[in-house]
Amino acid sequence: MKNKNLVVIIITGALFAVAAWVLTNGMALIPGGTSNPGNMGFCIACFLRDTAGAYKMHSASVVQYLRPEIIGLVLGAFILSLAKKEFKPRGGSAPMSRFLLGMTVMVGALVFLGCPLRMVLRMAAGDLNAWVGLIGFILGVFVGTLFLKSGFAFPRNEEQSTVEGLIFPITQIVGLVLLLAFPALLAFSESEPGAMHAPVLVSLGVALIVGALAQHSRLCQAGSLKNVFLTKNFDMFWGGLAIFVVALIFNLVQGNFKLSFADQPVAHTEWLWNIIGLFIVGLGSVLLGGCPMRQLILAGSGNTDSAITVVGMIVGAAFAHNLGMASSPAGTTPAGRIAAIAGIIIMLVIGFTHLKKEKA
Amino acid sequence: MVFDKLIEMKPEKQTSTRYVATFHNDYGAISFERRLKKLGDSQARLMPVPRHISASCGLGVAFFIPFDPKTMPDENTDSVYQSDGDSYQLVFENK
Repeated sequence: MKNKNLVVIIITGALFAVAAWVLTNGMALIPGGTSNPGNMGFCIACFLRDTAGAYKMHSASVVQYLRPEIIGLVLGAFILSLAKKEFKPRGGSAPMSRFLLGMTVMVGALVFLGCPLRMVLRMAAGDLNAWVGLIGFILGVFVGTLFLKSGFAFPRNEEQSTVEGLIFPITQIVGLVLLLAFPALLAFSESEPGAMHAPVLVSLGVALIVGALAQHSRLCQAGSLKNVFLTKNFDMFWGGLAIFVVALIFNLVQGNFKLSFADQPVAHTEWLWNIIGLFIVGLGSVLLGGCPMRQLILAGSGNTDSAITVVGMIVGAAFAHNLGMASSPAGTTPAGRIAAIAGIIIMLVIGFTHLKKEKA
Repeated sequence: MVFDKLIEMKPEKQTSTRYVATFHNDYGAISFERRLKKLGDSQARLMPVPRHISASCGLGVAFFIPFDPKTMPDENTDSVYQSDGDSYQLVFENK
């Protein structure tokens, strides 16, 4: 029933918002509870960057922590896809282009300081910088749909071996083992925002549920806008709106809604680069076939093209911090701005060189 | 209820048979829809692939003229289903 699918999507969106609240302001209600950074119940880009730091792929000491949310999202999707017989190892479609796009999307996200999901959570907290960034995101997805209509396509992927599809989920299990049993091997920030995190098992448990929900619902911020532009179907958009509305309600009720540009947690006020950063994420996500969270979910479901994209995002995060490209609450950096412009050029080149000609 | 209004906004269901095609990439869907329109199906339209057909978030195409395996699919087409309300029967799979 079309109604039922819409209801499932909206409930999923609402649950995403609840999950994000649990990991931030929810934990703050518990005596002795620790929480994720502000407006960061989930941020795939930030968390992949923090994970890269935990493995010492970069040495930005304030952002090193092996985020269990990433592990949970992937394994939640993995477990549910196995249970529903939807685990399908597929890949082999333009791996280097996807890897590079993954790096580019990460750079864009680190210039803005958030992935599309965090953008929504920030918007729901009154962070006007995220509202400004939304303009860039919508524009980026729109340009992506223009590429699609003009014939952009990576080569089709192919069935892969089971082992091929299992490698990425297994890396997450390995990461979990390291985090729980061999933490001395990893880096742990001692100051914010890397030091701010909900308890490991809470983060993991919540993310497992969200990962499964995301696999089931296919929720994707870029996908929802793509569907609106190309099919006029708003189902997934209402799901995204549900995330926003429920997160907003929690913020209002708890008194955590602060409407401003300045002094927002892990955010900066450079409007142009907020727009450009999310423009990169929007366009890149359409070319890649999904926003960063969707890439995690697909990778957990056996899609090795998405797994390579995620690896590209991790490497991109490492480069971004090693070369001084990432923004901070103080603003963007010269290297970050150059990288952002380079990223736009890279996406345009990849876009234009993969246009299929219409058959006569 | 808001949801009812949203459902009303969707295009009217046709009385002819409804097919749904899935693809390996979004461009496959876009070019398929154009091809169907050229073949005379003015109601052919892009749509998100129904969830119970696929876990993929790619685009699909709903079309309403009889499926012809010779003229309609190309290398980007994955499968074609015939729809009867909410159930879908596989009628074609591109190998």
